[in-house]
Amino acid sequence: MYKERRIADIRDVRTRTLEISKRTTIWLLLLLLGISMIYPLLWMVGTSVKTIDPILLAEEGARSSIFPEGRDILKNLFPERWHWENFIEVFREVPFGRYFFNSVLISGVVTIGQLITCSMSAYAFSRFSFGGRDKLFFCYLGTLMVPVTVTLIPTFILLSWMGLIDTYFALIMPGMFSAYGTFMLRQFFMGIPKDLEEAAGIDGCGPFRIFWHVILPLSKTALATLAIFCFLANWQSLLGPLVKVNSDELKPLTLGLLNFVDLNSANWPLLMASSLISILPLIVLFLLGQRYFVSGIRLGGVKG
Amino acid sequence: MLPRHLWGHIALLIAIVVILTGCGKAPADLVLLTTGNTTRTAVAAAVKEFEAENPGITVQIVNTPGKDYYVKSLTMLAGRAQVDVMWMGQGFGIFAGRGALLDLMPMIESDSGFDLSRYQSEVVGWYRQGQGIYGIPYGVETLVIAYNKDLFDAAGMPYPHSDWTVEEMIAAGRKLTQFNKDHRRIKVAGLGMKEIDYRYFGLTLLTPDHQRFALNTAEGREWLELTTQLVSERILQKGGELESLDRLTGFLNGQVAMMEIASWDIPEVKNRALFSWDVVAIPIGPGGKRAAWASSSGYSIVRSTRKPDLAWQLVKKLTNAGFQKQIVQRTVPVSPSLHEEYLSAHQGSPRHLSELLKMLPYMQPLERIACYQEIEAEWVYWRDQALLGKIPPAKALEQAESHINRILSLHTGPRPQ
Amino acid sequence: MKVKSWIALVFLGPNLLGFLAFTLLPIVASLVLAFYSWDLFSPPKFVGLQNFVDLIGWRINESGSLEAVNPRFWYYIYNTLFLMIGLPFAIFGSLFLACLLNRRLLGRNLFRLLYFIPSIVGGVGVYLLWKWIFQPDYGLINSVLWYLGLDGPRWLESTFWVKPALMLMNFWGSVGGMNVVLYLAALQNINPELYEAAEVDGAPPWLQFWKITWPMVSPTTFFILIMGIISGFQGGFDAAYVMTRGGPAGASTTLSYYIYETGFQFFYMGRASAASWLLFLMVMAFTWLNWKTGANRVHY
Repeated sequence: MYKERRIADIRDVRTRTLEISKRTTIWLLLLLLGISMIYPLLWMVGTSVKTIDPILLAEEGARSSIFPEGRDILKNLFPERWHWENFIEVFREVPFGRYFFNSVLISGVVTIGQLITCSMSAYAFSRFSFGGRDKLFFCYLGTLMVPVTVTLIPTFILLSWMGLIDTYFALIMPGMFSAYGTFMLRQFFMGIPKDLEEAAGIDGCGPFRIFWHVILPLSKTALATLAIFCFLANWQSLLGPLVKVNSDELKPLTLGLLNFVDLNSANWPLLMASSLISILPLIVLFLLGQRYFVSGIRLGGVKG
Repeated sequence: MLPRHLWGHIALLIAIVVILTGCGKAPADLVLLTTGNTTRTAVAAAVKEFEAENPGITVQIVNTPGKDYYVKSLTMLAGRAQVDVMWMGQGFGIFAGRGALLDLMPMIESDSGFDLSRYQSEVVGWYRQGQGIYGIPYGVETLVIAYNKDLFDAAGMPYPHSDWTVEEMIAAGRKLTQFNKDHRRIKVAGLGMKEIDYRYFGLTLLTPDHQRFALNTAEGREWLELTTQLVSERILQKGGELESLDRLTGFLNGQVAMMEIASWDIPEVKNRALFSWDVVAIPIGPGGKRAAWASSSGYSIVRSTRKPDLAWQLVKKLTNAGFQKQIVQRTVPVSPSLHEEYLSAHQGSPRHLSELLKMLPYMQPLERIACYQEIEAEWVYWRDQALLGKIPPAKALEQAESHINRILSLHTGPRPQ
Repeated sequence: MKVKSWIALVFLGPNLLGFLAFTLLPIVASLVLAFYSWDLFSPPKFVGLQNFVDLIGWRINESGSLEAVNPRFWYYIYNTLFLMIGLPFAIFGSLFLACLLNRRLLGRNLFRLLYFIPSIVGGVGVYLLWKWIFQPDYGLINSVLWYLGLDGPRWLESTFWVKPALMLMNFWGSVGGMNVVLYLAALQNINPELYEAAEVDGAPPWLQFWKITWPMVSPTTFFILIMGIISGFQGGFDAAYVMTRGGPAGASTTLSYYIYETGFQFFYMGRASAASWLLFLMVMAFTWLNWKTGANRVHY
C-alpha cells in the first residue's frame, strides 16, 4: 500500500510540473500580448504627466516630447519629472467635476432604466406568444441598422418640438429603451430552461411573479453584462449629446473633453490626464461587475 | 402582481426623471454659437461685458470645439432652433451661399460708432456677397514656412531669406533630405509638405467667377507633374493635412527641416521646439507672383434672428479691438493698427515673425461658395490618384475638371432667398 | 406561454412606447427623407426615387456601354465589406483570449482588466495616437519593424495598406473588450466533466477546443457575429472622421462616413438618407441570412 502511494505521488508530481510549465508559458504569452495591448495606455499615462511649460520643457529636453522619436520610443515614454499637477489643472481649466457628474448621472440612470425596460420587453419577446411578435422583434433589431448620422436632425427636431432640447431629460429618456438590450436579454432568456417556470406556474405563480422570482434571479449575469455594456456605450457617446445639449452645465465628459482639442492644436498632457480620469469609473465598474458577469451567461435560443 | 419594492424603484426612477426635466431654463435672448478653446475666455469676457451693458439681456454661449462645430450648428439651423450670432471660419460660404445669414450693411451704415475701415479691407472683402456684407472678422490666419536652423547649420546651408523663390525652396529641400544608407528610410525630410501648394505657382482651383475648374491648364499640368515627381523622389511627404493635430510632430522631433505652418501653430511650435527655428515668408512663384492660403475668423448674424440690433451689438463686441487684443497670442488681429501689438506679444520668438505679417497682402482664401466642400473632396480624390501614381497627372486634372464643372453647374442656379 | 394580451402589453409597454417615440420616429422620418431633396436650409422637395438612382443607378454612356451613375458608392460598399474581414479574426481572438483568461493563473483579474482597457479608452486622443503609431517615417510600428530589419509599409498613406491598418486598430480596440466578457461567461457554463473525459481519452487541446469549446459557445458566437455584422456595416466613421478623412483617394471611406459626408458636408440630406436605406437593407439581408443558417448550427 505504501509503495502504491509513492508511485501515485510521483505521477502526481510529474503531471504537476507539466501543468506548471504549461501555465507559465500561458502566463508569459498573456503578459507579452498584454504589454502590446497596453502600450497606448502607458503612452497616455506618460503624456499626462509631461509638461507644456516651455521653460521646463527646455530643461527636461527630449524626454518630454509628446511623440517620442524612433529609438527613444520606450526610453522617452515617461518624462524625467512627473507633473502630477496636470491632474489638478484639469479641474481648474474646465468645469471637469460638473462634466464628470453629468456623465455618471446620465449613464447611471440610463443603465438602470434599460435594465428595467429591456428585461421586461425581453421577457415578453422570449416567453409570450402574441400576434406579430417576431415581426415586432425584427423591427427592434432593424433600428440598430440605421446609422446615427441620418437620425441626428430628426431626433433634434423631435426633441425641440417637445421642448426638451438642453435638458437632462433629452439626454436620459431616449437612451432608456434600447433594442440592443432587448436583443441581448431575449437571447439569454431563451436559454433558461422552461421547466422551472412551468413548475412555478403549477404552483400558481402568475407571469409577474415568475418574472420576478424565477427569471430575474437567474439572469444576474446577463443583467450585469448589459449594465456594463450600456454604461460604457452611454459614457462614450458623443454625437447624441452633441446635438441635444447647448449649455456647459449639461455637457457630459465626451463633450467636455473636446475643450482640450482645438481645431488645430491640442493640449496633450491635459487631454490625456482628463481621458485617464474619465476611464477610472469604467475600470471600477468592470472590477465590481467581474464577480457577476463571468459566473455564467448563456445566450441561447435563436428561434422561439 | 409585482413585488412592492420593484414598484418603489420604478417610482424613484420616474421621480428622478421628472425632477430633472424641471431643470429646463428660460430661453436666452441671444444664442451665440462659437467654437474652440483659444477664444473661450475672451468670448466669455466679451459676453459678460455685453450683458452688463444691456441689463436684463441674457446670452447663451454654445461652444463646440473642432469639426463638430459644423454638425452642431447645421443641426440647429436645420431644426429651426434659435440661433442669433454664429462664429464664421472657412465654412462661411456654406451658410452665406444658402442665404442663412443676415446682411449687415444696413447696420454698418446706420451705426456711427462703427468704422469698417479699421479692419483690413481684403479680409472684409471675403465676407461680401454681391452688395451685402455678411460677417465681421476679428482675426486672420495665414501660412509661413518654418525651418529648423540646426538642420540648416548641420548641412552648412544658408537660411532662407524673405525674397526666396519656389525653385530655391525645392533645391534646399532636396539637399536637406537625408536618407539612411540603403536609401529606404528617411532620416531628415527636407520639405515636410504633402504637395507644393498650387497657389505658390500663381494658380487657383477655380476661375475667379467660380464657374469652372481652373487647374487643367499647361501651368496646372506642369505643377502637378512636378509635385508627383517630388513625391516619387520622396522629397515631398504624403499625408499631413493642414487641419490635423499631429502634423507638427515630425518638425518638433527635429526630423523635418522646413514645413508650412499656420499662424495658429506658432505658440505650439514656440512652446515645444527644442531646437532653434525661425519663420520665413512663402517663396515667390515662377511667374514672380507670391500667394498663400489664408483664412479668417469672425462672427455673423443669422437671418432668422428676432433681435438683429442686439445681435449686431454683440457682433461688434466680439470683433472689436479689445477682443482682438485678448487673443493676440494666438490669432493675427484683423485690424492693421494692432499688428505691432501682435509682434510684441510674441516677444521676438520666432525672430522673424514679421515675415508672417509680410504675407498679409498675398493672401488667397478658399473660394467661399456654397458647394466648396464637395468640390474640395472631389479635387482631393483626383489629386491623390495622381500623387499615388495611379493615373498620370494630365488624366487626373482632366477627370477633376469634368467632375468639378458638373458639380458647379448644379449649384449655379439663383441663390435661394 | 399563452397569456392575456394585456399582460404582454404591460411587459412590452414601457420599452415599446419609448422605442416608438424616441427611436422609431426619427428613423422613419429620416427614411422618408430618402425620397426628398433637402439641403438642410431650404424646404425639402419630393423627388421620388432620384436619390436611389444617383447612388446605385446604371446608365448607358456616350460609347454605348453600361456604367454606374456613382461608381464611387460601389467602391465605398466594397471598402465597408473589406474592413469586415477583420471580424472573424476579432471573434477568434476574443475566444482565444477568453480561453486563456479562463484558466487559473496568477493575476488573472489583472490580465482581464489589462485586455479590457483598450476597449474603454476612447476619444480623439486615441485616434491621434494611432495616427502617430502608423506614421511611416518615425511612427511606432515602422520604427519597431526597422529595428527588426524590415521595411514597413506606408500604412495610412497607401490605398492598399490603409485598410489593414484600420483593421489592426479595430482589432486592438475590440479583441479584449465586451466579447471576451461574453465568452468568459459562456465558458463558465461548460461542464468541466466534458474536458476531463476528453483528457482521459487523450484528446489534444486543439481537438478539445474544436469538439467541446467551439460548439458549446456557439450561441454566444452567434450573438457576437450578428452584432458584429450590424456594427461592421456602420463602422469606420470615427477613424475616417478623425484620422484619414476617408482617404487616400477614398480608400478608407466606408458607408457611414459617406453618409455623414453627403449629409453634413455636401448637403444632400436626402441622398444620405437613401444611402442609409440601402445600408439598412444590406444589413437586414445579412442578418436574416445569418439568422436562417445560424439557427441550424447553434447548439443549445
